[in-house]
Amino acid sequence: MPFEINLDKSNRGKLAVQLGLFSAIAFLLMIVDRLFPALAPVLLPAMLLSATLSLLRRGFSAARYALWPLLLICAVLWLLPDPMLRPAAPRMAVRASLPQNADAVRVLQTNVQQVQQTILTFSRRVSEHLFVKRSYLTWAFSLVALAAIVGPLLRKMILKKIPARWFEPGVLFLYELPDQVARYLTAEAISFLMLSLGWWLSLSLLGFPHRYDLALLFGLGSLTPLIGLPWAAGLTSIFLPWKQSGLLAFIGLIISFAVLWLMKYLFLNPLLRSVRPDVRKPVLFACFFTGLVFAGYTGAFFALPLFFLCRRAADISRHAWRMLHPDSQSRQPAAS
Amino acid sequence: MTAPSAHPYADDKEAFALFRRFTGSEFTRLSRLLHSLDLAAHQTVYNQDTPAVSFYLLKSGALSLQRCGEDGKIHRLTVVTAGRSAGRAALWPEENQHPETALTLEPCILLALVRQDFLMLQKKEPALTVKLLTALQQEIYQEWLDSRIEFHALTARLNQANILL
Repeated sequence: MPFEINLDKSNRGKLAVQLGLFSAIAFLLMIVDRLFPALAPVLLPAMLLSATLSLLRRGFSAARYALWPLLLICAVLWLLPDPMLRPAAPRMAVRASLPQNADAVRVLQTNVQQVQQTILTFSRRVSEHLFVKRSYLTWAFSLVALAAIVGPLLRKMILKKIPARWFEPGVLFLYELPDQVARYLTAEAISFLMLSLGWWLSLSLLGFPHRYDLALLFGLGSLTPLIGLPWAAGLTSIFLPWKQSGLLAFIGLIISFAVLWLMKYLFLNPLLRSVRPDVRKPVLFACFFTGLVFAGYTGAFFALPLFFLCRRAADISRHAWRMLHPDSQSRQPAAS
Repeated sequence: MTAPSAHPYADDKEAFALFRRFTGSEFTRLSRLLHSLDLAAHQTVYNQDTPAVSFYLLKSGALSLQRCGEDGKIHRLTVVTAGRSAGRAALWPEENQHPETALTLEPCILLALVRQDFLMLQKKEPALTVKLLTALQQEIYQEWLDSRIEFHALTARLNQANILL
């Protein structure tokens, strides 16, 4: 059965811990985002960059030299003059002001315009956060450089200071968790970049408007398994240029989606499966739609990645707890 | 560069059979990744079925390796003495769990090699890793040989006892 829900006693506990942690972190992030709006745009690129750097350093012996170009980029970013800010995207959503005798087509048009405006506002906000503001990038790069220099020393110092019986839990939190998160973020970033690029190429060929925004949306959709990509492709279809060979563009869109879906299935899914924790479909749908209802597109696109990270943290915490509180019966052997 | 003799674990090279064939420089490079742990008697080093995140070298003291069977009984597998290693599941290429529990029988000093550091070493210095794994293989083979000899001696004694009975 595809939607079988196995909630026996042990599963209920695990699920409750994960969902509790997810809700707590989501709530905390919402508060932090309101209090410090610059934190998310600094931390997001910093996390992505540090994940890539950490995997590079583990994977290649020559990657230790990667720190020098990183420091150079930091210096350049700090010294560069502030660029001229781009004109801000219109943030006001189109409001329907319909006459009494408005026909169905007009209502539909206005609704579609509203959805289009919301999507564009969201994608411009994301791209602004990620790429436009140099001061955010400067802080992100500097944080990563600092972490790359101080991190290993700090980690060794913490393991030296903590009591010996906490060594294994300490290793779990300081080595295994960052490694798992780094692998997850890097795999998702690769998938995001490849699918965004593929979608942008397709939309360019088909003559769609707002190609960058829609490609970004499609890439973000890849963060959510099963639902994300079809949903992002569905949102793209709202922007179909109906007035100029719309049907042809629609068919082209379906073919492009099928090609990218196949590419993801063949090449990216094996990579993603090794880093994504197994999540039951009801949990997946619940996270996606809860995020959509409570935090709009941001919630929908980032709820599952957040849940995955929470799940990793919960699993590691569970293992650490088991390490610190072993079954007392297992201490005395029956026969020596 | 730090001189080999100045390194905190440089004098431990001869204490471990595993490192007998390592050169001073090789041992120094490896020992930079080691963490020293002081444990009191009757403390758990690691538990059965928990993620194997570290490999341990016993510098002094004794460890008991024991395993909880499916029937719930605890069986002592072996006693690890100074100079030997434990937690070898951490050196397997994929993520793994400890198949046994390690308890200290007396105050112990352990040197721990974290799995992630070992994986990094594998990429950076494959020759050194191969040397370490070869030495470990020899240690495991010697342990297997000793256990077979002990088993056959025990079987022979049981046969003699059966004849006498």
